[in-house]
Amino acid sequence: MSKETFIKTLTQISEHATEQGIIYLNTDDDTLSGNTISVDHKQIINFGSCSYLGLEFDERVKSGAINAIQAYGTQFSCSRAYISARYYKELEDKLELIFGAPTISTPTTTLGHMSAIPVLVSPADAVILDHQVHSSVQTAVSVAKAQRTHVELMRHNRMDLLEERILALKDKHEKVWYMADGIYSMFGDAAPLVEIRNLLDKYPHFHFYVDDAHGMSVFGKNGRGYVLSKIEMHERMIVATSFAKGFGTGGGALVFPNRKLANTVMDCGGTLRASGPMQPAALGAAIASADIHLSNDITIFQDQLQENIRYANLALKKLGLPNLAHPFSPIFFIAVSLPKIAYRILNGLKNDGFFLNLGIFPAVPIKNTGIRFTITRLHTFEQIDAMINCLKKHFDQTLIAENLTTNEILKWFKTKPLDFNASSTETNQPKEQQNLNVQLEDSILAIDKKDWNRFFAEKGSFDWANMRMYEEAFNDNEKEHENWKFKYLIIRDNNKSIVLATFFTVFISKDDMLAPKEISSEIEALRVKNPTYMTSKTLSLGSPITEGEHLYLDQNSSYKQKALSLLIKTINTIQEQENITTTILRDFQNNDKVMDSFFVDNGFFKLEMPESAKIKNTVWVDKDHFYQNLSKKKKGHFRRNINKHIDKYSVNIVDNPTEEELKHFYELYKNVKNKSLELNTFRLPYKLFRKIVTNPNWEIIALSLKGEYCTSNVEKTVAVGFCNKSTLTYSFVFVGLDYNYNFEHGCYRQLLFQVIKRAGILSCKNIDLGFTSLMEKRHFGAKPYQACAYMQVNDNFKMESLEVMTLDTKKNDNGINKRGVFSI
Amino acid sequence: MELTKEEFSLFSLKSKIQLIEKDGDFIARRVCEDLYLISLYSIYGFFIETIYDISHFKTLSITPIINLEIAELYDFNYNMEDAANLQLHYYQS
Repeated sequence: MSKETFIKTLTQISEHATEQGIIYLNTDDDTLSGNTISVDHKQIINFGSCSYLGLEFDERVKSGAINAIQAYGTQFSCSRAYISARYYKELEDKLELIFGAPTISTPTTTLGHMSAIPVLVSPADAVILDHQVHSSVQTAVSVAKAQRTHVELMRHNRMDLLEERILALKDKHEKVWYMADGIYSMFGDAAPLVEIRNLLDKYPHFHFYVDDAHGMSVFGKNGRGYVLSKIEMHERMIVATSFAKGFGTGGGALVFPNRKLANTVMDCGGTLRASGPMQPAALGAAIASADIHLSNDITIFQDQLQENIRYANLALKKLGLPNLAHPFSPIFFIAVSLPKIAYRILNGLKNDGFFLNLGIFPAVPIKNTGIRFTITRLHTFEQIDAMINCLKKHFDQTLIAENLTTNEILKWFKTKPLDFNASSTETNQPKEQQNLNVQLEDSILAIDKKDWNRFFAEKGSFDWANMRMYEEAFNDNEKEHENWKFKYLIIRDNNKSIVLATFFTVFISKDDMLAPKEISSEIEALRVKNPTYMTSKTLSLGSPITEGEHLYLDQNSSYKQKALSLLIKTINTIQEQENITTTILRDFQNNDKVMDSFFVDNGFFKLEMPESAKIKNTVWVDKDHFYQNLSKKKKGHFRRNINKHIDKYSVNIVDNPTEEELKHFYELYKNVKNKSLELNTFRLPYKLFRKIVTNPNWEIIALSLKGEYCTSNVEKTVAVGFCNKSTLTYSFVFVGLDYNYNFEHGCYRQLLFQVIKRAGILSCKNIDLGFTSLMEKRHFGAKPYQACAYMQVNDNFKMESLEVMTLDTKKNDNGINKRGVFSI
Repeated sequence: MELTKEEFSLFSLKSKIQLIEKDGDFIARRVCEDLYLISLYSIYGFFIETIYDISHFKTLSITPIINLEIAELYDFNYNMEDAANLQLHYYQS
């Protein structure tokens, strides 16, 4: 996913969730005193607070802030490098007692990361980021990446992979850092700290940087956090933490194994030295909170919170709600799969007086959306009971309305809650989609030829005969990625009228298909040894080699909406059967708000496809007529680049090439393919081209350069186009070129002209010239057409790995890519 | 939510008091050696006894009853008004 698409996707999700009244809410209370808040003038109980111990309402903490303001005013505005308010020293002394190690307090945890990481990590080091480490750590690491530190993204909590990577990196890098969270913010699970500690003991190169924001105050002696409750401070470990959650005040802290390292970060950490300090109110409150942490009260508060957590876990289990969070943490995550389900449940809860959060992309994959809520010490059992009963009510109602079961939802998460038995609690039995008949076939042979061609003969190169040809070509090949599966879906109403028809392809795709070519180039080098590196099992509506409207939907049918729901159900079924990671529904009109909304609700995000070039309603008389109809600028181009070279070529429509000729054409195709890293796909098998030459709907335009222009003085085919023809449309589908002659003799441009000419001679009114080289095609009067696709990725890891790689595309002075970013 | 005896026993004394306030039904009360007020409650389909230290105004324990014959120890004609007042006092402490 490109940065642009990522931003568009997030904007789309945010706008949708805002419209639904789920996010960007504001309280309208004049005062707050507990866990009840007022939103839109309605009292609701807050189950979204990360202030797990409710210390923000503790009179001692409030007085601490007020007294500090009375004494020092609202701010003490000076860099800490010059002078700090006296509260800093008092706070940091108390923090050292809490953590048992040298501590620096920071205005926020994020600023703490921004100070520490660029100082601690050198260009000679390697950093391994846990896939789910908080984004603020990843942001700080991007500063280290700018200084050319090697960075890797590792699948969540995979200690086996971590050790493997430490071994691989330790001899090439001075230090190998692993960066993780103590308690993860979405599923409330924890880093495997004992294993990490063992690795610290085992490998002297290994260093550990951990963000324990959600563990602070909730766990450990004096509330020192989850990490330090499980393992002692290690000489190669840094703990970053937050005061903005359980601590109840705002701010953060960095805990170091020794004073020297703390001083180094203090002296060199840019945001510590140069950014504004914590202000008196936060410092005063933090000192008071630290005092509570150093008293017996903290244990009482921790115990009270754990009782509430225990109660909530029991309630969720008894009601059969699929809670995926870990049982010890105050964070809960109810699996619901699709954003639309979460919106509906959250709105129901809000209307009934409960505020909960949304767990959605990019924090989790889009189809792993969930209801996230937190339990604090301030909740009562009555409140927890009431909220969970209400959650159960809306969960069941929504699943019935959406025709889903809990087990179906859990399939998308590839995990189940502990001791969970959905079947015993399943009150949400799906209703059958009535009045519609679904036909899903594995071969076009099972589909009526007339029916199929009625909808698709003029839509692109996927009429009945073409589909049969693709089935034969992408079958029984030696290489796994050359074997595709085709699925045909026909949905009929009671009158046997077709309401929806389409086809899908299941194939292996390259994850870097749309990545910058520098990235693809490096990944291709790794694929030499490991051909499946960064590849995914993909389900596509349509296929990777066809273009056009692959979905027929009867817009006048009263069953249109039901048919679309069945389309989604069918996609879900295929995804499950084929273990699909990426799904792409392509070639949709780019301005269809109804479709946008439908697919986004069903867990897809929209992306714009590359523009494709088309010439519509063309009439061919002859070359002169074509020339006269070009604009002045295009005429110039035609004279300089087409007419000048036109006599150098002999043009042949090859119906039945010899094996030798076809092999040569295939070599020309491979030349183009090898250079097309901008759209990095697998090379098509030779078998496809052998099938094409026997298919009457296809023809080959071969351009041979006359002998006097060739180095061998022998006429040679230097450009070839594989074209599909129907009654109205001529499609330029595959191209082959000899680049040795392209620059001097313009063979690609010549081929484009010959394709247009041929289409005209065959009286085809529409010419599809395909993606890429848009500028070249525009010179011939082609216009760009922008279609859109809807995409669903069930595993964010690869997508984010590519993002990490893309962000790090730097070149040194020699133009050589110096990145060192790979996913593991 | 209804808890089993085992689940109820997992909670701290303070939480058990909260659960009784929320879901329990007072049945009877007896005084033991003028020192302890022992109350019988029904909750989630089982019975529990609470032992309250009268002189220290403190609840000492809350435990599910296993042997139902213990009910014979209670005077079910105990003045319910007094019991209600005591109960209030007991929660406030």
